[in-house]
Amino acid sequence: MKQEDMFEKIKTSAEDVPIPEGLLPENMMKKLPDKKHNIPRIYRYGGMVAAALAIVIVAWGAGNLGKRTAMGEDQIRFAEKYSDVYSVLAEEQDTWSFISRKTMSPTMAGAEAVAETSVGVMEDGMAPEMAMGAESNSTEMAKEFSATNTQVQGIDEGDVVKTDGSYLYVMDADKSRISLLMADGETMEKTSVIDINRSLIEFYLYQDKLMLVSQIYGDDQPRTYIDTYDISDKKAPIHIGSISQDGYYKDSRSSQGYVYLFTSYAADVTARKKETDKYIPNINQKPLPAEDICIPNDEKNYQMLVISSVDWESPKDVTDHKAVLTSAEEFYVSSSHIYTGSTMYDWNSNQFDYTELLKFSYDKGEIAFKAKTNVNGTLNNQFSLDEYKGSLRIVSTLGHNGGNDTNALYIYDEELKLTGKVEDLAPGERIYSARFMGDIVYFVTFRNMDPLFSVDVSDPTSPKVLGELKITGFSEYLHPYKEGLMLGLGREIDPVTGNYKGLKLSMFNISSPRNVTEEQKLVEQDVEYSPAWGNHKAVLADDSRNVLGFTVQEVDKTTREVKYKYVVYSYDRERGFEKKLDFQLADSDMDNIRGVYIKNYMYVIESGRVTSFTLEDFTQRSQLKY
Amino acid sequence: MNQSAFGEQYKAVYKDMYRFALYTLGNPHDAEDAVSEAVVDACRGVGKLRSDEAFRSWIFKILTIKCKRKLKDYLHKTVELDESIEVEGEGWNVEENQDIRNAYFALSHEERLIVSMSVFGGYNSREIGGNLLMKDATVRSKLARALDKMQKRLEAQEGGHR
Repeated sequence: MKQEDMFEKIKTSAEDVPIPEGLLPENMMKKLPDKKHNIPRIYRYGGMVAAALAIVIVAWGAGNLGKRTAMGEDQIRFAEKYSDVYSVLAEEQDTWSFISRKTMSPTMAGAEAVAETSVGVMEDGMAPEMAMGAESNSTEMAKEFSATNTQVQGIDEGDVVKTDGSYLYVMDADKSRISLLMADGETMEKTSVIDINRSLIEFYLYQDKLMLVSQIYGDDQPRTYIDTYDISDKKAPIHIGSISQDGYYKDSRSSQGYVYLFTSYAADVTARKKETDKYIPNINQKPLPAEDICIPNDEKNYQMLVISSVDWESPKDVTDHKAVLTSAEEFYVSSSHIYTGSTMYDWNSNQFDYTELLKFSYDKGEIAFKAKTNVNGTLNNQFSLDEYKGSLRIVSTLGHNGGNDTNALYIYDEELKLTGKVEDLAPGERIYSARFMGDIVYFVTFRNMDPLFSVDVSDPTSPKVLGELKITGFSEYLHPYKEGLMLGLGREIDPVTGNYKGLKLSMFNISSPRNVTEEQKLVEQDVEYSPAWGNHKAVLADDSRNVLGFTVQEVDKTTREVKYKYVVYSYDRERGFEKKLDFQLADSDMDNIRGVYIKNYMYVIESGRVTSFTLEDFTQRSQLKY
Repeated sequence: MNQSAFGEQYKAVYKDMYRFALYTLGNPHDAEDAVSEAVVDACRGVGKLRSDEAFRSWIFKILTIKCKRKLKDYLHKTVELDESIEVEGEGWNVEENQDIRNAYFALSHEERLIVSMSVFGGYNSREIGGNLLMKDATVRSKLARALDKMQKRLEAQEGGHR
């Protein structure tokens, strides 16, 4: 039978498949206008997806020796001209495998001669990593106002709400405006609006400026923008700069006066060599120079990660830019390095998928490639990576085709050479959350019971499993909370039936990592879904004020009524979790609702409405419809 | 493109979108979710889409990403699979079609993705390769192998019916 005939049969077999009513155009269109319709979101965040990192480094290093020894050069090269990029995209595949396997030449067949250049691949002198991240969240001093809940202290992540302690900056539901709202608890007032004619994704606040990240989808290539506004006059924000970068928005960070923007550009593999505009991304309307494009030597990717930096002081220009042929799903940014993880499916291997891990340094906007390796297994999310005292620690889940998943912890040195590992943890389970706290990493795997592992990683060559606490349900987010405590936010699961039983809050006593206990727990049976499970930025967790806030979707089991609420809990070591606020929302766009505190007031921000409460006893004080 | 133009475009592709998702994922609920998510993403970014022709490939690109994400979940077994896709509905039980479906769902996830991208997405092997990070020669041989597998299974089934 010819292929076309079989295609036709398959097509015919699908024709009588009933189409769900919800997808009928008239029904679908009804859901769209306010862009608020709720899709089941449980598995929506990439974060639920574990990513595996394979130490293919060994196999690969061996095959790739040649004359060259510097490791950066073995791993990646910079294009000299666009045809170098083209040759990767358009390579005849048989020749490709011949070249890369038999001759180990860094150049691709068909490419014009590529000099073995590795400009700036390994730059020395990076300061050793400062202790960072999780543990820094614990502070006894009450803060004036809350900030976006970020992975690493001092490295901001974009969000839909920001505050500077007197104003709230809020992205509207239709994602085309930012409202500036003066908020002093008792009264609130809208002072101005920034209108942008594109689809906003998130924004940053730094001193008296805002940077707005937005995106358009062109017919063949989406483009991402950063627009900067001077907001020193809250009544009249001034647009002071704009940059554009080709590709889908992936992620971004703001660190030490610069915003780093990551987009994913899909090169057109059908382009002809001359049509560089089809496979070379533009930054600020200009094609990225060839020498800024890195090509991993084992690359088999048609997607290009584009990274650029924008100086808050000079927001009309891009300070530096780089691109790499890699897909990059997870981004972890430490105080001096950018790490990207790309899940790779190796259909040739029954063993496990792996993660292509790339490391870049950054300093005052300058971005430089540092190292690359392949790590066993896949990453759960950005919290699966952590840099500490020069080492990179990773937890990953290894899927084995037809076998059991296993989990592992790997430690790499500054050049991404493996120094230590623990493998084969929790067979049949996968990692749901992780938090690195200095010398100890905690992570949760799950199938029917939730072991919380604590691993001593103080010796990078010999990590040791200290403890394994088994409790019901599992945590999807771990957050350090006061000295010796760690909060777990997740789901309660019946260990016998495997059924979902509600949202679960756990407080772990981690003062002795060898003997972690679940000090208190609370299960909210009515909760069906919370964005807090998949998006750390939707969580307000602040031990200095003892508040834990997030949005939930509840279903009343008697009336079957669906309610959207913002809830706030406090924690007492004796009494456990206590619900302080149970506020019914008008808005069902749960992912974009935030709770913020300023001085002695708590604000719940939903689309079109802000409500303030006293932090002391959560009585409602005022409400602004904006 | 405004909302009603979007609606018109959607009308032209939604059946194929659902079939694509269903034949890739094998689960009607997940398929519906994947299509809904893709449509919402598309709608959010639809402002600058111009030519009618591009709509289809663009929205299928988004849908492919959604399906791949769900397949990843399947790989890690977070989702219980119902591979049989026996859905209530008229005309759903035409025997030959069910035979084809049985043969189809005996394929691996990867094979299904490749076949449904070809059949419903209208992608060629190079485009599929670009999406799945595979060489297009590999795509072609995997596709041929998958169809061959189906063929053998169908022949065996036909034998059984006689």
